[in-house]
Amino acid sequence: MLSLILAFYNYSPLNPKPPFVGLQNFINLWSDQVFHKSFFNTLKFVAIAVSANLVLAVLIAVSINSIAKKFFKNFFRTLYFLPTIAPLVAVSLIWATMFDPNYGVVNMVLGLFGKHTMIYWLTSDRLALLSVVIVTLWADLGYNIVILMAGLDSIPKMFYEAARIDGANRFHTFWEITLPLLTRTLLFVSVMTVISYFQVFTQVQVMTNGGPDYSSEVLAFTIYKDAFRFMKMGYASAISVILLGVIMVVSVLQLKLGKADWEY
Amino acid sequence: MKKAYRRLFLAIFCTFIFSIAINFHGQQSFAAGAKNVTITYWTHDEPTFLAANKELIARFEKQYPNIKVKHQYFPYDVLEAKEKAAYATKNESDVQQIFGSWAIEFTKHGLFDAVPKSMADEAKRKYFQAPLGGYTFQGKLYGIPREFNLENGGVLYYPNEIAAAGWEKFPETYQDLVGLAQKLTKYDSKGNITHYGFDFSSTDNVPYLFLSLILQQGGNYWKPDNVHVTFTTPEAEKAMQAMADLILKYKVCDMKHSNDPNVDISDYFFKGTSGMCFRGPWVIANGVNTYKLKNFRYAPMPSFTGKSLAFAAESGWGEVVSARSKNKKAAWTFIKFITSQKNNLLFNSKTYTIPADKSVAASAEFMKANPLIKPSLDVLPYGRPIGPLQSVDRFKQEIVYAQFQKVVDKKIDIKTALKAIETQTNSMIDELLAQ
Repeated sequence: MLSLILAFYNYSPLNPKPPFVGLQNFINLWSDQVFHKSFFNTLKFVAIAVSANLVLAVLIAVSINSIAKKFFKNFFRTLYFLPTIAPLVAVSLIWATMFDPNYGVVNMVLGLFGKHTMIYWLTSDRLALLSVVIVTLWADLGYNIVILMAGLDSIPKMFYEAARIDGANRFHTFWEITLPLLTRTLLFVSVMTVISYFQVFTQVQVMTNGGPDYSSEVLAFTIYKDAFRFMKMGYASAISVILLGVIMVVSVLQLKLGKADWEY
Repeated sequence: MKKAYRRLFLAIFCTFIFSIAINFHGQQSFAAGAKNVTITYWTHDEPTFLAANKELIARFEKQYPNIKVKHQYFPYDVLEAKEKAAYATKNESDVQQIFGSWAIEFTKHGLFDAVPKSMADEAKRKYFQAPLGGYTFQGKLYGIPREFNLENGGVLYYPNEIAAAGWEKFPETYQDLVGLAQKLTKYDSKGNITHYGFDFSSTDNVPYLFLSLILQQGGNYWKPDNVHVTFTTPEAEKAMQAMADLILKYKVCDMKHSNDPNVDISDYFFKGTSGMCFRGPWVIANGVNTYKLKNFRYAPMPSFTGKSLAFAAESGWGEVVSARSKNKKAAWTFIKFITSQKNNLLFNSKTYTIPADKSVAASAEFMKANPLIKPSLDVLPYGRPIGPLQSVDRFKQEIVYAQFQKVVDKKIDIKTALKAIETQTNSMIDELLAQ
């Protein structure tokens, strides 16, 4: 609420009487190229990372779920969940070291499969955002896997028995039974992931600082930078209001489009 | 004879008692009208700063037993945010250590106490102009600098590396520097630089090199009103062209390795990934203490024009007092004590910082303790305050560095970049003046 009010002021916390600027902050955003870049980077990040997360999480959850032995099932579930409890700052720092073009383990491993070349993961404007996506997936995938496995466990076994009697193969079973009956869990997971990924910050702050040339700058990072580094708090509040609006619109759309008209 | 001895003894005794009384009165001058006082003091937590500050606080409390200093320290970026938040919530300490370029945001809202007149008059004589600049607002001084922050004037290099490249001593002309940088640069099969000849690609050094190249040509980037800037000048064009040439034409550096927030460009040098590194002398401490290196040197950066060594400087660390402090007298007594010549010498020697105090910079004692810093000391008289940019960090990172990156990525030409720097800087100044 306060953020919404501050968006109409040229606010600095050091000035007890900040000047009222009306819609000026929003008008300035319209022509701010850094904001444009940051906005589209955020959309790009959310689109790529959420899609990749959901596809991988579903495939891994189904694979783990198909393991017969309970011990191994639990083992793999725990293994995938472990990265989610690691502090994101530490994870980002370690990955930044791994992505180092000269000494990083990522380039070393890639060198084993072909001619060694220096890939500038974090300092190339084509790869910086992709690197952030990779780290985000590694750190975050386990959470959705656990939720999807719970969703898979709740699908009644009789549907699978019926499919087996009808002679359906594994792909058909997955496509015609598992996926449709998992839509409610998928809807929850996708809404939560979208909301979370729109607010991506830590990895960008630690690994790339939004660079090079703003190629990995996202809205949460722009808000932080404008508010706390450059003391443009009114302006940062205006960006926050826009981010809130975008998250609300996307979430409402998701909930509308993902409505399921069945139950078991 | 006995009487004479008795008189002499009495005279000596009286003199002794009198001198003790005078000394005691001097030490207790603060105590004359005051009870015990505790002042709060917030500082930067860099280990060498911490050691120096703790020693000075101990000395101060010994000399002024009725003033206790409650010392708290924070990492660089936390300290800045904390000080701003504390002033916003009227919860600040009595004394703060700040970086000079932060001061203007506070002084324009009247949040710092002006330096007492006698101290201010002395400071104007005692300190270099550039570090004083950050603490000066509308002709009044609001803080006392303890260091002359410098990102110019010196280049890190390895004598054995330049000798292997055929150079007996460090180049004395800009053209020779470029020639040596080309010899030191190494590439992989794809043309990527594996060893940088002359690394200047940090968000500090790109803007400072740019400004110094303008000033060394006799140019100026301030408009006559001294409020707004101009960068659409022949000097600025030549300066940016020279910097772009280092990357695009001579290929002695790139911008691919410089936006990692966890690594300073001096780290690349100390790890052996660059042959020369244009960086402030404060990184010498990192090479000596962290990397335990003794085989590198710090040489004067040759003049771009061969005539002038002019550069812009961004003040430096110093101490300020809150305008709302209830212990202003004690606070200024403390600052006066820790910024005496003797204590400035201790602080600058322990922290590997350039003295803001002219007498310390000129002292043989300081030179003896910090021989690597000599090139920086030699250029100090050519420094001038960067000027009232309102937000130096934003100017450096978001404007100059960002536009230069676009130039070397061949996204825009130099004229467009300079126009953008001028426009964006002026609109930033106007926006911050309106706050």
